[in-house]
Amino acid sequence: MRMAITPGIHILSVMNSDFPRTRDAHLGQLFCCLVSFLLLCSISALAHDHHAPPTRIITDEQVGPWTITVWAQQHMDTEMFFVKVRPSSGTTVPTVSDDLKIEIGVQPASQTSPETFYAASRESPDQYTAEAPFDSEKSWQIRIRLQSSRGVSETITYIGAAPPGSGEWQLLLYSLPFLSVVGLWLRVYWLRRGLKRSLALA
Amino acid sequence: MAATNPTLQGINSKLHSGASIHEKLNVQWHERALQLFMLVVLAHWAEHLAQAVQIWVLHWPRPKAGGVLGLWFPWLVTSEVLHYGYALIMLVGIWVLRKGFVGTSRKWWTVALIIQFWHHIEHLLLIGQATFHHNLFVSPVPASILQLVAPRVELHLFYNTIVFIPMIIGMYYHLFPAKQDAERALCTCAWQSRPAYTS
Repeated sequence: MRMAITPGIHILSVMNSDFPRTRDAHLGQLFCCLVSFLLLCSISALAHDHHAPPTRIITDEQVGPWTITVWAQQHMDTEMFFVKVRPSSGTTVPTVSDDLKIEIGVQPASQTSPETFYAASRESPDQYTAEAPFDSEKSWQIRIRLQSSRGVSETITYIGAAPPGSGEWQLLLYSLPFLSVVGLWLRVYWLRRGLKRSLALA
Repeated sequence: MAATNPTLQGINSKLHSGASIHEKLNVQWHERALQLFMLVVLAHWAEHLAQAVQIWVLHWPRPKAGGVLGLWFPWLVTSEVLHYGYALIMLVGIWVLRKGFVGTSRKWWTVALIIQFWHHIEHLLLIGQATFHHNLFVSPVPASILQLVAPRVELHLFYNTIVFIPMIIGMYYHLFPAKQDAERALCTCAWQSRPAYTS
């Protein structure tokens, strides 16, 4: 039986400093500092969460005097659009002008309801952001309209419907940890029961 | 383990009188600490399960399906702090309790530690980008490395699953160790040791 030999092993292993205390203490201090620093940093990231990553829907397309790249990022029931703008090469515009306004027009690809426009706000000199209500299970037509003193230009693209989620598989996957822990518990239960029975017989 | 054996109790009390918390957590407190840790892990999974039930069984709209915590603290569910805090607890828990594992169980537990460490690095990258307002990979929002390879996968679920699998295998080998591993174990987790002391 293990109990017959373990006391000796206990003494030797622990006294042989399997856990060097000073190193532990230093590591502990270092880790506490690191965790405190990271938690402080995380406070500034309150707004960020686990959304799906943004997908590029337009890459370096020339729209009037501008070249744009557009990303779409799916949130719970909205879609965020990020538009990066730079003056097209060969144009006389040196930088993105201050009067540039961008609107995102959203309409079901089936055109069963009218197009709705959402104004994009300027996040940085070359990046605009807009948010639009969005049902990801439908296909959508997205119109990006750029408006400035140099005129109005626009482009259209489409976002396909997201494949339907497999709810049953997700439920099974989320249940897996509970099933495995129950499995472990049942094994212990059966082994104990068997042992009790054999002890009773003895 | 030694609680019902006077000889062992005496030896252990002398032995551990000056033991560090880390030592105790991996010897006489290992079983209880692991149970507590598993409780935290399962509570996290329970939140996800509740969320999945809200969406797929109760057919709630996705914005409303925030699990149980999300019903009272909707902001918490969408904040990075919750996810990052949990990733940290996981990393610290796996790391601190690792010494108590031996042999095969330690190998699997170490695999979980390595994956969780990488998961944590991914979170660190996200937080770093959000904190310093500088996004990597020409992305308009903070992005992690795995997102570049598998953009459509639900990363949080993916990471927690691939960390949990080696963890539970490690737990299995820890609870039901091979003979040579059982002889080297210092904690009371392996089920075989109990009847010997309680009978």
